Amino acid sequence: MFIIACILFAGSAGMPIVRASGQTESPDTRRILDHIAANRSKQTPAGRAAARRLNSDGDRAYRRHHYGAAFTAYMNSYPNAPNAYAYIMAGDSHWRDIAQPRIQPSSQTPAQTLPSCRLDNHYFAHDLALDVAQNQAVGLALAAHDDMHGPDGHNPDMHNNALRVIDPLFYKRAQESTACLQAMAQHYETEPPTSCVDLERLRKCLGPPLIK
Amino acid sequence: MAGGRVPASGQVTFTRNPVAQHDPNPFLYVNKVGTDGWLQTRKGESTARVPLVKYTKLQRIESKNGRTYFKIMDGPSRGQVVSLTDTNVGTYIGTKPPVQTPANIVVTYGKYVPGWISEARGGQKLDQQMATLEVDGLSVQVTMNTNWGTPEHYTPIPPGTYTVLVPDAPHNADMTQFYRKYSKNLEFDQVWFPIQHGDNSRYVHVGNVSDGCTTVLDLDHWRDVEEALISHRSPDGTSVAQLHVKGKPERAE
Repeated sequence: MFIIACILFAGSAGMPIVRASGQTESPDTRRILDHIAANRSKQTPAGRAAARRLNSDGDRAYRRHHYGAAFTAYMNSYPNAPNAYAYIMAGDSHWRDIAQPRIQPSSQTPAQTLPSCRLDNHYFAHDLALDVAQNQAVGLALAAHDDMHGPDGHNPDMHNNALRVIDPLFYKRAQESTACLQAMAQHYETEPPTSCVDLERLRKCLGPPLIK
Repeated sequence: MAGGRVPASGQVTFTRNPVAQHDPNPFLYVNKVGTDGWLQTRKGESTARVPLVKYTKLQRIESKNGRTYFKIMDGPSRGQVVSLTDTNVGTYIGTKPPVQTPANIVVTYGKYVPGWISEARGGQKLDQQMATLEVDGLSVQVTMNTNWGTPEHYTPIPPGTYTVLVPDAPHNADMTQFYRKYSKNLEFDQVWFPIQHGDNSRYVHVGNVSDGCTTVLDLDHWRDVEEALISHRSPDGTSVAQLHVKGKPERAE
């Protein structure tokens, strides 16, 4: 076991819960964790196999830095079978895709292409907070839970490790990145909608790719 | 049977046509498909598979060793020779052609709905740019974008008229089959219709998430929408519908 965290799987609506790891569990995170817990009996071997295939597809795209394609694969993995890895990687690859510098088409002049501000704050704070709450935060909670109980909550030996997060370094990196993104979302909640989002700060939060 | 018009009276008559009787290659059509929306055929003498959508036009070539060979007459695999077992020919191939004009789809932009909850995707809140899709007397709710980012990322398709193409291949089942747990009526979910725009990466398809696609949220009625589209062809056989997008998205990027 690589982590000992306060896992609160009993329902608790309303105020965010502060976990032993120091991370905040929002009502959106809690709602999804409750949904996953309530629907564990619906999981099938075919669904788990589909999730594993999509995680592999996501990994291939991620390693080529095709973060949009990676995001699509990971985000379609967890509806087949909820798994920590897909939730964490979906959130990470989505924001990596957005933060990734764009290559200017050679046929266009600089004046025609990217605006001085690529992303304003009109929706950013909401989008980032909701996305992290529904992806990375869910994945981290599931990883902690899976580490103690196995991915379906009772037998860690029954299932393929591809659906488990077992690498402590991966977990630590994802945890740090998530905390940084949550702080960034909180900061931009206080900024005017017209302010320009600092994509370099977003890149620093994400850090180097989570897998090589 | 063949028809003819009596020149003097204009009366339409139907007589057994000796030409048709001896025509060895009448056109036939894929009239039944699997629950994924596709009929898997075998390419020539090989074991490679060629997937065909409903109402693909075929010309019978010959029957030998328990298999019937056809030439594909329209769609993305046009010109290829494929075969089916003789037993399957009776089940999946028939004489019903598609309507020989494109269907008309009207999509009208509606509200931007942040926090739309998708049960099928684990209770996730999704920020949907909603619209209403009407085709062939059907009216269903669609989302025109779900994943947002910078303006060069996914955005709702601009208002205008677009051609909707014949699907080229089954889409990954892993991306949509989980929706079947939430809709017993859902089938043909691997049929995605490309919209001719940019790199043609936008589709009319079923699901809860749109990357700038026209995504039918009403899982129970997808098979009706799918039939309303796939049962039409343009005169050249390359498209199924004209998509008219009206109004203005509340959230554009």
